[in-house]
Order: sequence, then structure tokens, then C-alpha cells
Amino acid sequence: MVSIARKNLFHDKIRFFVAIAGIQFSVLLITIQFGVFLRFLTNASVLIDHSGADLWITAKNLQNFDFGRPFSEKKVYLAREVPGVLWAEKYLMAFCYWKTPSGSQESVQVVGFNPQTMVGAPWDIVEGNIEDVKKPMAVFYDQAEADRLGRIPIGGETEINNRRVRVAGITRGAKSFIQAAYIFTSYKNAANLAFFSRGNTVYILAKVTPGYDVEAVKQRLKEVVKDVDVYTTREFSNKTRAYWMINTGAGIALLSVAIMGLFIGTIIVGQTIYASTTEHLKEFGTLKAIGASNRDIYKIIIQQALINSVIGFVLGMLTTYGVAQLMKIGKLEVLLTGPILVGIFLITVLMCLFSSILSIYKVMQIDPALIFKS
Amino acid sequence: MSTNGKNVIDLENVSKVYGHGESAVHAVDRVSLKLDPGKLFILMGPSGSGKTTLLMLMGCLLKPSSGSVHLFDHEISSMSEQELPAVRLERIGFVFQGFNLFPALTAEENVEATLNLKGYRGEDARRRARDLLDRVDMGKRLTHLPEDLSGGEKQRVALARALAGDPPILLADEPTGMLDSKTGRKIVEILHDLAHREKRLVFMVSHDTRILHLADKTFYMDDGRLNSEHP
Repeated sequence: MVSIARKNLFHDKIRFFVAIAGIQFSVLLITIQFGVFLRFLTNASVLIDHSGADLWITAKNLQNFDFGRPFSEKKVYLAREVPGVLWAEKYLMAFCYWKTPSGSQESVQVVGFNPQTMVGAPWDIVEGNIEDVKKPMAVFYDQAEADRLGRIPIGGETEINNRRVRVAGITRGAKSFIQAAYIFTSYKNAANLAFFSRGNTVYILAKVTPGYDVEAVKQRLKEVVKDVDVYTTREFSNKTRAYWMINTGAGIALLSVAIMGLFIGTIIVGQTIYASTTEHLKEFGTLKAIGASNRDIYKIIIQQALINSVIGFVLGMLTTYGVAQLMKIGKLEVLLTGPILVGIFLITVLMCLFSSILSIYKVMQIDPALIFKS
Repeated sequence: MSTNGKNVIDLENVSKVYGHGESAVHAVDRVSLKLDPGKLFILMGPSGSGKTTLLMLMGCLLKPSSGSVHLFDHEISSMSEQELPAVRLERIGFVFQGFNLFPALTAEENVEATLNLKGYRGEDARRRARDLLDRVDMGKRLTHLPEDLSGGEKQRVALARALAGDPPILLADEPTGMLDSKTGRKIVEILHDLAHREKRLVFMVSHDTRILHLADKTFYMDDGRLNSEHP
């Protein structure tokens, strides 16, 4: 069967490349905007999502992870007694100052975890050995923050809150969204660096015994451990993300830009596909005259839209990848995961199909006299 | 191709009015016409006289404002917009002054695409397309795009396309308008042949008085009114 859609598209190569460039740019715009927004969201809750815990016990009425407040560490013992709790561990997060080799100070978030159980430990070590965190004053920082922290190599020393620390390793993927680098260390070390009062913790992380219902264990913890809040990991993650997204307006601003990208992309794609149809209007009119049904013509327009969307998406993604690498150099990361790519592909297809509806409307309005004009 | 000798096209008191009230334009004004198969009819008249509108009414591309249009005893005025394409596909072949070939398709594909619409697929459609192009002496130009063909060759391809699916009616709108006189005459001879040898009804709009002798009947149209013979 002759594919009029494909032949029409590829016949005028310059026009085709201009159309594809329009879609490619739209894909780039949408993917970058959403990628930055989603990176923002995932960064906001990155430590929660990688904690390995099922439940988080926090001070009462906490707004988000970064604003943790201390409460009695005795509650960890209470939590461990609750049926269905496999383990419960203290977890500390405190804002401190990191001294760079140039002498300047950088705000950091010191994260302390139990080095024996490694609950809440960094999950991706690119340099060093996580076991070294057990050594006195050993700290790990994330490679994304290396420049800001002065690129101190493993074995190198610096100060946090005027106390000497030694870099034991470098992590990956633990970039703080509020631009205060995460510094991982043992709980004891973190407490010392942050001048944290003895007998307190900021969080308790708990794992539910396999076979127990997480929600049921959470309710039981709420009953047993007083004056705290208990969240599932997903709940605490969402709460933190929602805080930064809604309460601060920062997320809304990014989301607005992403949605604007979607609108602009749709307009570009719509204009591209509409123009392509308009240029072939006489051919569609001829098809109608020789007996093609509206359905036959819709099929051609939709096929054109789908071909455009697939090629535009592939080229758009290749461009996005390149741009994302450049943005990485500028310390702005774009989140590009499989589900995001699938989502953007579906958005591209929907944009193209939506745009083709305008074209279909135009074809429906064709004046039969058009085809008799030479 | 089959016609039963009865009137294939029957127009009764057909009018087509554009606009309303004082600004209304009577493009076709109370035209009655009976056309039978096996003949070549030529319609002449000045620009704006309503020739193309009449052709569109006969080709089921327009519905009349009043009167009735019958094709093979089917009243097309009462048919829905969904039914009309099937009538055009099965019964009517169009030839246009500007050829209206698909520029992205080769000569063979232009004909094959029409056959595809009629339900022919794959090798069967390609074979039929090649046969039709052979009939109009275009068998050696199958893989050429319209931009690589002369005006006469394009019109032959357009004729082959119009014949795809073997329609009993051929409607041609100034098919020689963009051709030199020699090539134009050849095209009209083919149309004449299609009417007489294959018993099709061929109705053609033209300005070219040099081909009138080939017509079985000539009509003249002015201000939307039809006279049966050229004045």
C-alpha cells in the first residue's frame, strides 16, 4: 500500500527537516524543563528515598526533612519493642560549616548514621570505602559538590564547625536541593561536629519485619511512641517535596516554567503540523474528490503526526542528552530516567495528535472548488 | 465498467446559489440535463459562467440548492456526506486542468494510491496501476515523479488515475488547458476513445474550440444557464 503520509513528509526534505527541528526543539524544551523540575523534586527527598527504611519517626509537626528537630533518643528503644519493627536506628542531620582550602566557609548538612548497621548510609560510593566511615573524624562528600567544597582528595583534611575532619570517600547521587552539601559521617562523629546535645536524635528510621503491614506498624508506633510523628517513607518524602514545591513557591515556579514549556512545545508542534497539512491541502482535496473518505484522510494526517513525533522525539532526546551534559558542567542536573523518557514520548505523541486535530478541521473545511484551480 | 444504456446522469431543474438575499449568486440556474453513456460531452462557456460548479454538482462534490441530481437512478442530493465519497470512488473518475497529481508519488504510485482506496492491495494494485499506465502510453515512465514529467505525460497519468477502479463516468475540467494544442488534442482523443470504445460517459469542460468536432454533443453555459448546443 502506498504510504502517502510517509512520501509526503519525506518528499520535500528541507520542509521536513524544518518541521522535525520544530518538534525536536519542543521535545528539548519540555524534557529540560520537566527534567530540572523532577531533579529538584527528587533532590528534595533524596536521603529519605534512599534510606532503606519503611518508617520515619520525627519531631512533632515537622515541615520537611531539612528542618529536623531533636527529640529524646530513648524513643528508639521504645520503637524497637513494637511488634513488627525489625530494626530502628537513630539518624542525625544538622547544618554546619565546611572550611574550603581557600579559607572560605560553605554551609553543609552533616548526616550521621550508625556505621555498624549502615542504615541511612550513602548508597553510591565512587571513591573510598564506606567501612572507613567507622574511623574517627572520617567524612564522605558528594562528587556533585566537589568544586564547592574545594575538591579535597581522599585522605585530605579540613574543618567542619572548626573541628578537624578527614575525607574518607566520595559519594554520588546525594546532592542536596537546598545547596548545602550533604556530608556523611558516623552518628557519633556528626553529633560532635554539630555540637549536638547528648541523649537526643533528629530522626528514627525503622524497618518493618517482612509479613507485617507497614501501615499497621506505623499506627502501633504512633500509639507507643508519644510526642512524635510517624510517617511511611513515601509519606515523608511527599511531605518534604510538597513543602519545597508549594510552601516556598520555588517548585511552583519551576513547574510553571515546565508547563509553559509544554504549551510552547504544543504550539510549535501544532504550527508545524498545521503548516504541513495546509501545504498539502490541494492533495487532500484531490483525495476527497477521487473518493477518499474523511477517515482515509484522517489516517494520513495522523500517520504524518506519528512519524513526525517519533523522529522528532528521537532527535529531540539526543539533543536533550547533549544539553543536559552541558548543564551538568554548570551544576544544573536534569533528571532523565526511563519513565520520564516514556512520559515525554507520550506527551510528544499526544502533542502531535492534538495538533493534527487542527489540521483535520482544516481539511474538513476544504472548498471543493480548490481542486479545480490550476 | 458497466452502463445499462439508461441516463447515467440526470439533472432536473438544478440550481446552486452562493450567498443570501441581494448578494446571492446563482452559479447554476435551473439546469436540466440527461446524459447517457458512450458519448463525449463538451461544456463551453466564459469564465465564471458556472461550468465548474455544474461539474462539481455532477461529480457529487456539491449538493444543489434546489432541483435533483440522479446518478444511475440514485438521488445524490439526499445522500449524506458520508455516502458521497463511496459514490465518487465507485462511479466517477476526475481529470483536472492542473493534473492534481501527488508530487511525492511516482506515476505508478499515483495510480496505485487510488487503487488502494478502492480496496486493491500489494502486487495486485501495482499490476493494475502498470496496466492502466500502459493504456495511456506511460508504461515506461512508471518510476518518474510528476516534476520529471511533461504536461502531456502528467495528464496521461491523471487519466490513468481517473480510470483506476473502472468508473463509468469521467469528468474532466479543462484537461487540455495547460497543454500545447498537439498534446491537448491527443488527450481529448483518448477521452473520445474511452467514451466510444469503452462506453463510458465522458463530460468535459473546455475553452478549446478546436476540439469541438470530437464531441458527440456540446453545451454552452452563460450566467449559470445551460444551452444544449454551442451558439
